[in-house]
Amino acid sequence: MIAIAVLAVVSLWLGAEGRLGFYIHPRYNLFTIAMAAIAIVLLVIAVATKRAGDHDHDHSHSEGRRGTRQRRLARAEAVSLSFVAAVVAAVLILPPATLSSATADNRSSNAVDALGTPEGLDGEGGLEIYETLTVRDWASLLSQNQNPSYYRGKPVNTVGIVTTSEGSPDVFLLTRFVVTCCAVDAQPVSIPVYMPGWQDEVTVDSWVRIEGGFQPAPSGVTGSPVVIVPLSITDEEVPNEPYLF
Amino acid sequence: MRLWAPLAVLATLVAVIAFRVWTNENLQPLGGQLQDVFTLSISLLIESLPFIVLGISLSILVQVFVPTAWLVSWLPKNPFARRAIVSLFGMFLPVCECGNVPLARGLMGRGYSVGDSVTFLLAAPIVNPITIITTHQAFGFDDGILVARLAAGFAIANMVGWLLSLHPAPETLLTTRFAKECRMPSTSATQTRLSRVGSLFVSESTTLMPALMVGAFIAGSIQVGVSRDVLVALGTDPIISVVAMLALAFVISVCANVDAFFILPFAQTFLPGSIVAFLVFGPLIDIKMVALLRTTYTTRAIATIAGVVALSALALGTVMNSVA
Repeated sequence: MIAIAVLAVVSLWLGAEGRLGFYIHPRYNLFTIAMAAIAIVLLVIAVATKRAGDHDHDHSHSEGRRGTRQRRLARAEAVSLSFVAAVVAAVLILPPATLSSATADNRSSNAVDALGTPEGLDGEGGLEIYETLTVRDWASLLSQNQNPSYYRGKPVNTVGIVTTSEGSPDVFLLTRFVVTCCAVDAQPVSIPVYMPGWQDEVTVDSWVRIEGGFQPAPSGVTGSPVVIVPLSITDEEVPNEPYLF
Repeated sequence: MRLWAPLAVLATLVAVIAFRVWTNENLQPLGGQLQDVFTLSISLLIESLPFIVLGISLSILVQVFVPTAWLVSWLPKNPFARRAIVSLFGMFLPVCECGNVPLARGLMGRGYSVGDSVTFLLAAPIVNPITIITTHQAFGFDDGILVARLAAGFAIANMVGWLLSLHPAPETLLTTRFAKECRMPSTSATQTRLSRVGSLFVSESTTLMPALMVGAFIAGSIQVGVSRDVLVALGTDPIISVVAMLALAFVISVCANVDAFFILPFAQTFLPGSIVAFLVFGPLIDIKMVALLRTTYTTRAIATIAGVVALSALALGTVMNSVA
């Protein structure tokens, strides 16, 4: 009962803080908050109507004969309880955190369906429309059009986390995760940023805003025909909705 | 009824929230892979929580407020027809697979057989309006993926239900603890309906939540520890790609309602039969579900169910890949 109570309370707290987006798609926010509130109501009913002698668990199995099987079951239960304790403690103690570069490195980046199609690029909005594009939008464009002249003069102003690139030591990736349901199905999308010595300026896993433009990839840089050259890099707070949907 | 209970619960909740706020402001995330293990585990838990609460609520509704006659007497006496009807319950109770476990426990508490309950458990996540809509949104009617998923989900659920119904002592397929609960009278003379609601909430949540937490933790750890690319690299072989998809479905433990969106990007590299195998196997058997099923069915029963479902999905996927 403690486990469901803690999870319900933390879900309500995350909802109040606007941070459910660290874990699930926003379309589930209302449903999650409503069901967490129902869990609390059921918890109140359970405590209010609990009779003396009622127990959360039926421990009768442990009172019988103490054979090998019982000892094995007791050991398994202890292992299981330690997992539960670790997860309850993590829910209760660890500050909410988004997925990091460790997961981005572990999953294929820029999968075709994670990219989607950017909207509003019909040529009528002027260059300022490009400053509203997300990492996902730029990654989509880069997958569809690899002609460097297309990107000449187009401004970049977007936010993401810093992850490492296998293409060149002078390049890091600006990465976001695309989520369809919850963080479990997150798929990384990323765009290359060319900045020799970037390791001295930004740290891996930090959230940054990059303003700049494109240039053809210098020799020795692989993986993309163009790279972003930043004019400015500023630290950013983790957004309440860190994933793209 | 203890009138102080709401105040006591409220005070405890405020204390928990105050502690949570303090830890949030004074502690730092762990960072790196260990942090991602917890982020993924907590993500699975928060995603599952509303469905678990909904499932427990429906289970309580079934056990406390719905007369047994309403649940059992109108069903066909013929077992095949009865299981066919039971496998359509998901159309009216579109709960995610985690929520179906407490509901199946509630149905068994009101007289449903083990075979009927497993038929419901296996069919409901697939033969379900939300799953049908999301699968259609992802794939349309391309390559027969939607139709194959629905037909296979229905057929496999009924086949497994039929196989379990042949068991000479079906009660032995249940854990000792749950079988004992089923034998107990549903209400005692001293219990009001409200106290029955309270005690059922306690017993169901204390049974299911630890299992869900262990499943979520293991699934989160494996996702961080095993590169997804290792599985995806096996994508083009007609048989190995099906096995890879079964392994991916088992590890990923994503909800049936949205798994079609998750697997859509893989449709570029995997054959249609492999995609169908993922969409049929995943909602029925994954790490999280095995942990939840273990609260109710014996390890042997779960191994049998998982084996039949895996072989069926493998056969279906291989045949589809061969003709594709």
